[in-house]
Amino acid sequence: MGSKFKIGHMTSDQTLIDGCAKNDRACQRLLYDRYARKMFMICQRYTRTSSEAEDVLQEGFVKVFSGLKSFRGDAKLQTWLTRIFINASLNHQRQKLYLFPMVDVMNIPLVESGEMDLSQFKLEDLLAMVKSLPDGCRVVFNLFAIEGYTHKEIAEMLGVSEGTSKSQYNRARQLLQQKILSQEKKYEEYRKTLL
Amino acid sequence: MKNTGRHSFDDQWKHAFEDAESPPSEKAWISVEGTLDKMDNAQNKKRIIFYQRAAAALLVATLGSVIIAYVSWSGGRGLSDSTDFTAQNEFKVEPEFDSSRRNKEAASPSERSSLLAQQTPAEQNIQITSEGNASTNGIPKKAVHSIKYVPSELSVSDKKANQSVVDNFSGGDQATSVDIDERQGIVSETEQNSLASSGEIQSTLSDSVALVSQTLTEEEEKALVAKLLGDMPEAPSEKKKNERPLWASLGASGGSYTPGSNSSTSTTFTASNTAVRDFTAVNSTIPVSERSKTGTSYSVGFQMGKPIGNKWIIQAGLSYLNQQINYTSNVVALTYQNTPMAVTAETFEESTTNRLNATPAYKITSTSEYLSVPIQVGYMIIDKKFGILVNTGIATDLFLRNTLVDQSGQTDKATQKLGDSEVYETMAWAGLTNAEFSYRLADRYRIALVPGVRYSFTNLTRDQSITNRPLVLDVGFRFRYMFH
Repeated sequence: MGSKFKIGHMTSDQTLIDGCAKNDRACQRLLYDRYARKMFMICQRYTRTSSEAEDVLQEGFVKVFSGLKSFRGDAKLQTWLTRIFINASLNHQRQKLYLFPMVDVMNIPLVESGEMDLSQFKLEDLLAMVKSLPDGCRVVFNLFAIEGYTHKEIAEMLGVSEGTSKSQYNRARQLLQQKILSQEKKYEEYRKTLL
Repeated sequence: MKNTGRHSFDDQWKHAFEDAESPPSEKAWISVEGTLDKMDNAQNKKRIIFYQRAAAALLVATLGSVIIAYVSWSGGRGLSDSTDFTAQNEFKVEPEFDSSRRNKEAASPSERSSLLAQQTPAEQNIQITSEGNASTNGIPKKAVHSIKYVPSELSVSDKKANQSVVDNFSGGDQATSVDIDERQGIVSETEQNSLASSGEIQSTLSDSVALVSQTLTEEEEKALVAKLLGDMPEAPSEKKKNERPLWASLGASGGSYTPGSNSSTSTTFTASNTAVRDFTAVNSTIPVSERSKTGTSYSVGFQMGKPIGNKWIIQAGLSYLNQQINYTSNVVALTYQNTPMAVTAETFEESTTNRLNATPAYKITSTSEYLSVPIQVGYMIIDKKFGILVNTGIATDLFLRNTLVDQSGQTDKATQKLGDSEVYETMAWAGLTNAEFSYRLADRYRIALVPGVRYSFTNLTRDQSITNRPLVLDVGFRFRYMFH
């Protein structure tokens, strides 16, 4: 199907938005190609498996294409897309959260994290650590640590108390610290074997 | 979004995933495209259904207009034909004259013409003119009959002066002239009645013919009657009486309605319009809404009407219909921007950008707007200065928009428009019955009070498990203008 829009890799976001709003499939494909990788990473952070992440990606892009008419350009397109994919991920997780509601977990003393340096880890390893977290912890950790929401906002978004959000985050942080330490030990042993 | 309580640990994670990418598999796009295609097809199907129904409504409206136009165009002619028959039936003749008249009634105008052509020259010299100018054609010993016809437009004195039947027997000095003059008491039947209507004029004529027939032979009588039946002008006043005018009316009505027997809820709420609500507080996972038992309804519009007989009337028009009802709901729809939007359980349209979230009960005003095309047949019970007209018919209601407004103003209003609503039927059918109590203000104007009932034959919502067939009781007024 030929596009009515002159599109290419240099095409502006606005042109793509106009084309997508008119249901131009070529524009939709180009928009997808431009942002799918970034959005897929978001989806992966919130889900346990790649298959789930692709489901969320698909759902998110359908939302994007059907909701682009209402995009008013107040924010950057990428910011708007990120919010849609976060919401899509939350919706996907919501069922699980209803079935296994988040509750306050015991306050476990945190290991001081000042000495930790994540730069030594590959992105895949970090992603694997996040994905391995329990559902509630993973969602709260993503929202708080990576997206930058406050616990109050997270509580409103998830329909839980602020205390629950904090508790889930602490749990997530503790689990991640343990994983990082464990991973560091593995790296250390690996280096020793090389020497 | 200033996030207090963050540690360098969090920042490191944020930094690690900033601008991070991961390629999805190619089948992800195929799935997206497949879903978009499905949505397009569903939308096209909906659009086709909408256009089909719109075309059906247009067809009904056009048909109604055509019927009215046809009745308007041909009504006078059709009625004048029937008036002729009425005039013939009322044509009174004396018994001995009746048999020859019946023969002539059976004959068509062409047959009557040929009959005249077969007559003898003597018979053909019988001339009847509507002008009343009796003339002899100069042929001796031939009877020349002249019956003056008096149009109703003439004054009574003119009629009296002109009503005459003259028998001129021009044979030599034999000339007999019979003048029908009420003052002389010759036409006694006519004298008893007013001469204002053409029926009476015909009655006068029939008496006159009967009178003439006494002096004519049978053949002459036949020719005379044939001429009368074939050539006599229509009774103008009768035609005018039956030619009722096309009219146009503007009107408005208001009332209350009951949406149906069942509602979507089994729970009773206490809702507050003023309390600040936490839209994200989950107090129930089951969306429930309670509909008020009655709502308000009003409509404005215009109609065209045309009588299709002495008593029957057909009317069609176009009107805007607005129905409003209150709900109490315990759910909101959260948009992708987490903005709460008013929804009811029965009107929640699951969409790709909205998700349902529970909230304390709150009150919503639901307003549905329709474009209605009513077609009605009416029976005129009284048609005087004060008139009573009873109408019944159907209306095609085209869904325009539904708006849900949170009465407290704490949530955004939700609107579903024509063509994109998953909840409301695009088109619905309703039955209408009303009575018009009208008063003639002037020759061309009438004002009417119109109490009526309106019932939806079809459910207004697509979900058939929810009864939404409003029964509207309303009172309106109409201002009618008649085109003469």
